Amino acid sequence: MRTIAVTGGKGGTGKSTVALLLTIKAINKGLSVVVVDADVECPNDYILLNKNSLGCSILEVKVPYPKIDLDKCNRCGECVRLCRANAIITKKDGTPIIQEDLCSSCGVCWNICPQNAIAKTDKIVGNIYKEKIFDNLILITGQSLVGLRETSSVVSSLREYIKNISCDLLIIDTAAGSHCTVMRALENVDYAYAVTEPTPLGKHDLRIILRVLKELEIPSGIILNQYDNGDQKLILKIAKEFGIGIEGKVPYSKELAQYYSSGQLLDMKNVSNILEMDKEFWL
Amino acid sequence: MNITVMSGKGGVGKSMISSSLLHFFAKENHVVGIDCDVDTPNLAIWLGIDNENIKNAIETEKISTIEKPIIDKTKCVGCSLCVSKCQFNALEIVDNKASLIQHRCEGCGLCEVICPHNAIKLQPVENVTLSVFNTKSGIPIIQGLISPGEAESGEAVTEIREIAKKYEKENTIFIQDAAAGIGCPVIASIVGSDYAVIVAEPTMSSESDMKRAIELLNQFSIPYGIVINKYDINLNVYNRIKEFAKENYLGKISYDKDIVKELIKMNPVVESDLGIVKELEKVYISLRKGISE
Repeated sequence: MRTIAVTGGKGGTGKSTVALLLTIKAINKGLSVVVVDADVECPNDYILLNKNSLGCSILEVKVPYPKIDLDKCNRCGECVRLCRANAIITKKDGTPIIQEDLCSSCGVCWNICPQNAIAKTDKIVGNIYKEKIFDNLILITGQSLVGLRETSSVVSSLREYIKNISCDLLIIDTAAGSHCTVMRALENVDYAYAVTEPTPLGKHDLRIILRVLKELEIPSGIILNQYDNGDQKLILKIAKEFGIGIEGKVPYSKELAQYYSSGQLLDMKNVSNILEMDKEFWL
Repeated sequence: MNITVMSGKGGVGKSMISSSLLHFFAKENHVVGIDCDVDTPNLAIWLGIDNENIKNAIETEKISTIEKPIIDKTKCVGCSLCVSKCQFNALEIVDNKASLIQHRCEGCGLCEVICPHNAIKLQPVENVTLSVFNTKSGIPIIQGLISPGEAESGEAVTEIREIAKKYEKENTIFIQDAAAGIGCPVIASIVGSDYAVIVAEPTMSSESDMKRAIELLNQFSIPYGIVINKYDINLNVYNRIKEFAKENYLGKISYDKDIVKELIKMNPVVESDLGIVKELEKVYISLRKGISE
């Protein structure tokens, strides 16, 4: 089983579109594919695959969460002092209160409480959904609850879940950016494609994501979206800087934009032909 | 007053619109621009500033918004208590000693407090390069760039916002260009913000993300307005979003392929001849009205 991540740094460069075009190409070659939507804050792959909803929640993502027993608590203040997230505040009498939305579930408080007054319970932070698109295509989506700060926990859970999957090709569609949520989606993949556009923004953000991929030691290639709308030299410069090739390209296409906007990518005739790839990426 | 431009969906035009709003507000107010996307800051680029060249900055410094463990190998015996307790799986045993997986570490300090051999100490890590630029018209733009592989982008955004306050004068309007998504860096941007401009594009993906962004804003009781960028790429979805927006609708901006030419020339959109400049001005006028109400 080969695992490919589709990432890019810049938002809106076409990660999800490219991930699905690669998917359709692979299916057309007879491979079984699982697409993993790791953009857990704003997952969209289900929309592009003509679905009205995420499908069934097959797993609630939970993280540990502290619960203070105020009868055992002697108001020593150690938990308040040691909480680096500043998630524990005190009333005037020293009674500690956990601010749920600031708590990062690190475990300092329940590990150090001298009175053993803090229990480790859990809270739900998101869900994992599974939807069969075709016989040989399954979509797995992670979605965080709105208001959750540490969304990387949902990505970690998603990555854990997919360890047990078997298929020919696993394609992970990451979020935009280069922070922990994206890095958790990129860890330990066989190959990564950085999707970019031939503009100063594309160039700037490509450099950033390629640095991340280098840091994670993931072999990578560039896919250039809307390659004919801008200045390709901007991207060629970055490619040369990192010793990485432009391995695929998609032209500007009003038709593709139309189908994308209506969530009907699969309805566009021969849609995957619009992505030209240099190599057989599924190998 | 503090206005955050956000979207949920990436690539819909937050930075383009933020840069344009700065220009329009500057005619009547003192303004400061804050780029709250510390992963891939782009606001300065839309203002014609090459933000990769430090020489263009009036101020730049490396700051620390996180502390991470340093393991003293002379004290570490490889008991792996820290490895088993770390909630982020950020520690592993390498050659019989504890070793940090940098990008997974959130700097909570659990390993430091539980190590039975006092072998771990948290130290500040300079993880953000803070830069301040001035546009041609003298608008300060504050941005931060997080080092590759570092977490805690939310902390970095909070720090940048604090630093931006140094540039505050009377009746300053802060325009914050948020990151994509609705997670910690975006939450760090909207906390204490007075108003949000939600940028949507007429795609089903953006429509879905906009609704999640609104749910987040409602949790923080922040009023908002919606602007639809590239509205003419799909009139059905545009009309649906406009109807959904009701009294929160701020306006629409056409798709113009030539915007890329201005970007390549590093020419701010508002200084170009593009037709969308008039549309952006109309959005600004609606926004002005919206925030005064």
